[in-house]
Amino acid sequence: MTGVLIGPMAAAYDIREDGRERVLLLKGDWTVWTIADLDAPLRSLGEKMGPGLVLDVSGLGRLDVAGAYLIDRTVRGGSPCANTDTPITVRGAHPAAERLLHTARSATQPCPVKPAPPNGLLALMDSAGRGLAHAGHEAVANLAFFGEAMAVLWQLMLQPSRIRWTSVVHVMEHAGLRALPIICVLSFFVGVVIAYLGARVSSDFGLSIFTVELVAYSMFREFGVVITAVLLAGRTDSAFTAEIGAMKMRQEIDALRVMGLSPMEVLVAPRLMAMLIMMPFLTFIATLAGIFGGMLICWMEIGVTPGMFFSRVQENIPDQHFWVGMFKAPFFAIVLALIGCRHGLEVGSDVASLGKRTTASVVQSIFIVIVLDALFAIWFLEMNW
Amino acid sequence: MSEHVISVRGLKTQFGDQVVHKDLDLDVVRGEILGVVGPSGCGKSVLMRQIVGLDEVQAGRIDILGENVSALSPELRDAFGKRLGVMFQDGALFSTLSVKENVELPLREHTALSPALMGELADIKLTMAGLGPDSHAKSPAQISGGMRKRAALARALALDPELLFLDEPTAGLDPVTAGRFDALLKELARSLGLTVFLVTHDLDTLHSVCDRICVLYGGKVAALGPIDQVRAQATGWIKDYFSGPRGRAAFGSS
Repeated sequence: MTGVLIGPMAAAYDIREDGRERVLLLKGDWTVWTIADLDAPLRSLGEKMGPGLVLDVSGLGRLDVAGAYLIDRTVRGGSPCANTDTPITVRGAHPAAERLLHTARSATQPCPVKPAPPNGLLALMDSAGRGLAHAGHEAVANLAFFGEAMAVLWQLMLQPSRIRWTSVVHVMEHAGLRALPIICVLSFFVGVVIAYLGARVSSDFGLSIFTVELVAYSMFREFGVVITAVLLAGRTDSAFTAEIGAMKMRQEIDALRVMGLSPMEVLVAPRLMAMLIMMPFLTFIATLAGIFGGMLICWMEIGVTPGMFFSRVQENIPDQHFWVGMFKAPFFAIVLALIGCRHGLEVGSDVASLGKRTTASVVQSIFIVIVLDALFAIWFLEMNW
Repeated sequence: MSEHVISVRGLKTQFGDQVVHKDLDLDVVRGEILGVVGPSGCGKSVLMRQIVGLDEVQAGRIDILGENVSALSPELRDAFGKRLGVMFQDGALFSTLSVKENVELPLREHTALSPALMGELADIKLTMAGLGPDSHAKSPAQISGGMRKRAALARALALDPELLFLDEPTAGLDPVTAGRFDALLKELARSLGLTVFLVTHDLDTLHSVCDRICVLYGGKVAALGPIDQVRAQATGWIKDYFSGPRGRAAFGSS
C-alpha cells in the first residue's frame, strides 16, 4: 500500500516553560481522525493555563481544521467560544499551521447568550394548548375541504361533460379493484373468527345454532363495511396522500393552478367519484366473503350445512340489516377520499412533511371511520332499524 | 511539484447504445480547482460519480491519490470515501435532521470525538461556510436555497477531506448569491489547501474560481488548461460556448 492509506501518527503534546513564556509543543498528526482522545485533556489544560500559550509547530505532522480548532481552543483558554482576541503566536516552520489556525479562529463565534430554560409546567400547558388548537384547526380544515369538494361535485353533476372519466376509471381500478383480493381474504378471516367465538360462547347455553345469526348480523351491519373502510384507509387513502403530496412537492399542483385548472376538479373529484362507486361494491364483496368464512366454520364446528345456513339467514335476517351496512359505504368513501386528498394538498416542499401528512391522513381517516360507525350504530339501533 | 491527485486513463462508459465516454484521459493536479464543463448529457456528472465511487467504472482505470479505486476492496473503498467530500446539486441535506446535525452526522458516524467537540466543529464548519449561528438549529426546509448550498458545503467539509467534489454548486442561485458562493469556495479551497473538482455550467464560476478548465465533448476531453488559453484556442462547440451572449457577458468582451 502506498502513502494514502498508511495510518496517521498519533497526536501528542507537551508543555515547556521557556523563560516567561509557556510553550505548547505539538507532535504527530492533528486531524479529525487523531484528536478524539485529546479533547478532554486539552480542555482542562487550557482552563488551567488560561489564554496566551505559545505554539511550537516544528514537530507537527498533518493538520486539518479540526486539529487547528482544538489547538486554537487551547490557546484561547479551553472554552469553545471565549477569548477570540488572544494572539496566535507560532514558533517553528510548518506549511499550513498558521493559515489553518487563523481559518479556525476566524470561524469561531463569540459566546451566544443562552435563552432561559422554559418553565416545565408552562411548557406542558403550552404544548397542550397548541395541540388542542391544532386539533380544532384540523377539524375546521376538514369541514371546509368537505364543503368545497361537495360544491365541485355538485357543479360536475350539473355539467357531466366536465367529469374526467379516464381518471375516474383509472382510480377505480388502482384504488378499488386491486384492493379486492386483500379485502376478501381479510373479511373471510374475520368471518371465521366471529363464527368460532359465537359457536364457543353459545354452545355453553345450547344455542349454538344462533351462530348463524351472529355471523350474518355482524357482517351485514358492521364488519363488511368497516373492514373495507379500514383497509382502504391503509391502502388507498395513503396512496392518495402520497401521490398528490409528491405532485405538490414537485410544483405540479402549482402548474395546474396557473393553467387555470382546479386541483379540486382534476385530482380530488375523480378520486372521490371513484371511491363513491367502488366502496359499496367492495363492501358487498367483503360482506359475502365474511359470511362465506362464517358459513364454513358453522359447517365444520356445529354441523350446519350451507343449505341450512342460507335458509336460516333468509328466514331470520330481514333485508334492512344488509342495507344498514351498505348505507354507510358512501359516507366512508367520502371520508377516505377527502382526507387522503386534503393531506396530499397540504404537503410542503420537504420530504419530512410528506411522511408526516401520510401518517396523519391514515390515522385521521381510520379515526373518523370508527367514530362515524359508532354514531351510525347508535342512531340505527335507536331507530329500531 | 505537480502531483496528480486524480488520474483517469482510457475511461469508457456506455449506457445501452449511448456512448458517454470513449477513451477519456484526465489528470487533476494537487491544490488546483478544476472546472469541468460540457454540453448537457456529455457525461460530466457520470464522470464525477465514477470518481467518487457511486457508479461502476466499466472500462479503463481511475486513480485517486495513487490508488486504483476500482481495484480496492469494499472496506478500503469505504475508508477512502472518508477522504473525499461531495456536494450534490440540490444539497441533498437530510430533511429530518437540523442543519447542524447534518454536519455532525459524518463526524458522529466515522470518528470517536466527544459530542461536545463534534458540536463545536460543526459550528466552525458552518461558520466557515458562511452560515450564522441562528440558522444552525433550523431544518433544511426552513432555510433558503443559497443557505442550503452553504450547509451542504459545510457537510462536505465535515471530515476535512483533501478532495472536494461539487456538482453544479451555483445552479439555481441568483447572481449575487452565486458570486458570494464562488468567493467563499475560492477562499476555502486556498486556506484549506483543497483540490476541487467542480462540475458547472456557470461561466462566472469558471472565470472567477477555476485554475484550469476541462471541456468534455464527444466522450473525450476536448480542451484542458487555464480558461484564457482554452478560450483562445476554442473551436466548434467550445467556441459557441464561450462566444455566446452569456459567455461574452462573463468575460466582459464582445
